[in-house]
Amino acid sequence: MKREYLIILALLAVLVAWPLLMGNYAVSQANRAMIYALAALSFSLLAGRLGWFSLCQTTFAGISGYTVAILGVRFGLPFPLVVTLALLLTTLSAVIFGLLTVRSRKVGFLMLTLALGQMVWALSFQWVDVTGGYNGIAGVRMPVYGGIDFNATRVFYVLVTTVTVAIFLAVWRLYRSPFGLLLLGIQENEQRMRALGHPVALARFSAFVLAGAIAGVAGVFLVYDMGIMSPSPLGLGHAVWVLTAAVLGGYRSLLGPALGVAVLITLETLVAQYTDRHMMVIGLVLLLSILLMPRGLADVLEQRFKRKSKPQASATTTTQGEEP
Amino acid sequence: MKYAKTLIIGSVSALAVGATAHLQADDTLRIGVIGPTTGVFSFFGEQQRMGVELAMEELAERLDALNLEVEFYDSQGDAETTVDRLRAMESRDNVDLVVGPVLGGTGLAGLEWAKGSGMPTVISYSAPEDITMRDRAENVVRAGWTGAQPMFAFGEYVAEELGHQRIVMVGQDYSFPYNQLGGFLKGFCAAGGESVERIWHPTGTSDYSSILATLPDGDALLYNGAGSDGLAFFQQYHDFGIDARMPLLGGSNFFAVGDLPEMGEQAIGGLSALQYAEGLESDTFLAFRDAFWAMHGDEVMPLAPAEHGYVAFKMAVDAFESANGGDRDAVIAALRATEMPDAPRGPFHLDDYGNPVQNIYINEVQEVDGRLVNVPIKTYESVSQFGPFEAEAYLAGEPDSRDFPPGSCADPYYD
Amino acid sequence: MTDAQPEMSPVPALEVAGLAKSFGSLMVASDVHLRVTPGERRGLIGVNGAGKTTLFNMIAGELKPDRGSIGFFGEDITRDSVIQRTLKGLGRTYQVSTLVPSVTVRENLALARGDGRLPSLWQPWQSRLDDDLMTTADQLGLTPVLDEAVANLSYGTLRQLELAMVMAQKPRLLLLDEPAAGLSHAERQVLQGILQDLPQEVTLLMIEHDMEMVLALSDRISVLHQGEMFAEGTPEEISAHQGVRDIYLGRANG
Repeated sequence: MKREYLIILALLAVLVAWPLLMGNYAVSQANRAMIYALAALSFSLLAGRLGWFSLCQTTFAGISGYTVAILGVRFGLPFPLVVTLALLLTTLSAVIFGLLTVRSRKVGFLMLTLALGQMVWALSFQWVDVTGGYNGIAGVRMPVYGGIDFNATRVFYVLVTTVTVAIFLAVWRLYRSPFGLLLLGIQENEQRMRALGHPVALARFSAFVLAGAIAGVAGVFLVYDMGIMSPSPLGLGHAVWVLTAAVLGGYRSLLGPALGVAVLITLETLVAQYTDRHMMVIGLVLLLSILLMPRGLADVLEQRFKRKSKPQASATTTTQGEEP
Repeated sequence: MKYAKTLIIGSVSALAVGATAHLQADDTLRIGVIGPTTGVFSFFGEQQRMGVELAMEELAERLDALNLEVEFYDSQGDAETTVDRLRAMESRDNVDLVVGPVLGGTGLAGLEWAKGSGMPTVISYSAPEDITMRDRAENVVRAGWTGAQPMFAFGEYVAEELGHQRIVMVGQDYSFPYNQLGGFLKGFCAAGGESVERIWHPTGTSDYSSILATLPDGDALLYNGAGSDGLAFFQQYHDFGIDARMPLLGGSNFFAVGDLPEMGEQAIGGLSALQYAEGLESDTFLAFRDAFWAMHGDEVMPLAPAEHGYVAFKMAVDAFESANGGDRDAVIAALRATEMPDAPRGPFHLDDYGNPVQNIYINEVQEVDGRLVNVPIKTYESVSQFGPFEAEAYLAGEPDSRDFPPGSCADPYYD
Repeated sequence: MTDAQPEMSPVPALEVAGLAKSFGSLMVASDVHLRVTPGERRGLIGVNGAGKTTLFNMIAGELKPDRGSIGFFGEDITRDSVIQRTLKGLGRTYQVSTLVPSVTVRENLALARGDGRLPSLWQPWQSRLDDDLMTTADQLGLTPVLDEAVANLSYGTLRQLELAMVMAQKPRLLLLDEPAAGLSHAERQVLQGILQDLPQEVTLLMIEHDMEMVLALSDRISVLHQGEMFAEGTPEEISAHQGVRDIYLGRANG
């Protein structure tokens, strides 16, 4: 318990210090990192708790982003309304997707989310009247309230950080709630959870909708960060990127996805500066880390910090039959 | 408590490293060149890079005098990565001017960023017309083209010179082909054409038999697309024997020189239009081509993205010189006043909106020295991005879309 | 003997009538009848493959019968889902116990007593561990291992946890699928004591191969053979039954 609080305090300190010490680019990198940390958290909520690997979490971010762009730019609705409607619509699409996927298992789920994601991606390309097609919708701007321009990198940082931290804390609680435990139970022993009197399908569905809503928040920030909404964030490449980050960091732990995103973005930025073969270098690093740390960076760090005397008591410890 | 210490030390040192990583002394000027040098569109990014490298070599002395450095960035063909790299240029690497991006989507994302940043930007090959029209920004100019620009002339040529009245168009279903067709229709109808029937197919289509089997009749067919879709269409069009009944015309990139060997002899005589042609015979072009070959080897043909990168870089250097340094406003003003009487593609100057007014070549595929190349057979001079229209009149109309402008030249829109 | 009816009770805890199930051409249950009165301890025996677990799976709702009906305290539950049956007071343990292996005994206990509704997303899971639950866990000897991961538990402790989870639900009818399998002699003694101490109002239906335990615990015993109810009677009657000795005890003991 104490250790967990300490880590959280240290992280908060870094988040506060970051905009005070770092240059504009590093702050804008942090903004992107947090947006993708939310997307990876949304992915990990399903992958880590339910064993559901989704390829459509970035699609929810995309739906949310498009809603913001369309309502904000085309219809000129005020910012709070735009964001509310975007999150509502994203949640609604998560409800619809959830109804379609709730009965499926591992590979079936992966394929269904892949298909749904690709469908929405294709739609974003082809429904030109609404989405602007390949060109997308430009000119998405945060409002200026009381002389504070929310488009300014550091102001935007404060907003993104606050919301991201709040969501991570909420998911932290969720992981420690009976509901979080139940999700884990469903992943490991679905039949038993049912026999114990738990509404398995409803729990799965709720987790899916919740994860969709988190991705929706990521989408709102994504579109304001970019200023333009185009089909590119809905592509398979982004979905796989999020999956990679979550696996690299460790999708079973709370901070794993954030860690994975931070490492991946840092890696991309650093390597891209020195060589054109950065994709190869990054691929190699990923390959090695997944071979050497199949349970992710967060797990390796956790094991290091773990005191020997303390029994395995967290919900992130190993499943039977897997190599540590 | 040991781990707490480790954590704190770790995060402090991370911050320190990050903070000191990119402090650069600033009496140098820097140009950041961005394009997709990895990923599926790396061909275009590599072309731009080779063009810029050639310009750097040719202008080496002037670069030294300006104390100018060049840094290349990979957009990966992705809008988000583009914006990220642009941010890195501005706030990490102290770049004073951007050349690129290359692709349509990344160009729009780059424009969006440039509006917020104010960075002087010379868009090279990226062709969405709104970059220099409805969404234009003072600090953003273009060295290349708009999708519609070469097609005004092509439409006019097809109606006037070839005498085709009714055209069937098969095209890839996204904004660039919409814009190409928009230009075509506007030129075609003004020159006495009758109608264009549209058939859009999703990008990535490899089987055109259902389209080809139900093709309406016309005087010619315009394939409005390129790449692997275009190649597949070309093969199947000939397999079905439709070329005997309707000649095949191409969108600007359809008869791309890279695809010509695969199209083979059947491509000879194929017509398309562009502000560039690898078969140009002007002295400036030949000098450019030979220098390019000397630098990069003659198995690589310099194409439009290479020439546009080359020219964009020259525009940037010229602007720094006439601004006498990196002052943004002066550089932007100089950029907007660009005149290029000796560009490899032919002379051009920028219009008030920042897009070149330039030659458009009607190109025919011919075999030259055993190589299939696009040879210009007719030149339309001083074509602007608005074609035959006044800028205000053009901008008052809708942007081109899937079904705009109207396909029938009898439509009141064309009056 | 299949038509033998025990003493009539107005509302039986469990009334299985004409239950049949086959997998392809393999008939695993044909016309099974079983009536258990409230508060009764009933043993269910039979050789391997007699269809005991299949019968349990049908009673618990995990397997749909081809024919027949299942009554539960006078209510027809043949078409109810597993959850519905659980919520009506039917509890069961499994032959191969698994639970949630990656978390602790305490966390598993927190998952006991599902009520058909979504558990809290906000409270800590520990809030589900009330005195009642902890007392049950303590009675089953789980106190020393509460913070142990279930994956690390010994087989015997796992059975105790399994039982605690089910007992916590306060079932009216408890189906025990070979609770003593794999236990040491000492562990069996403990288990037997626990089962003997169950509140009288809990009806018990138990599959078990340990005849000593079955004979000691059961009020009555049913014998399943080749998918049919072969015999039923008091422990004394069953031990004396020649047919049962032939097909079951004879083989089992020799």
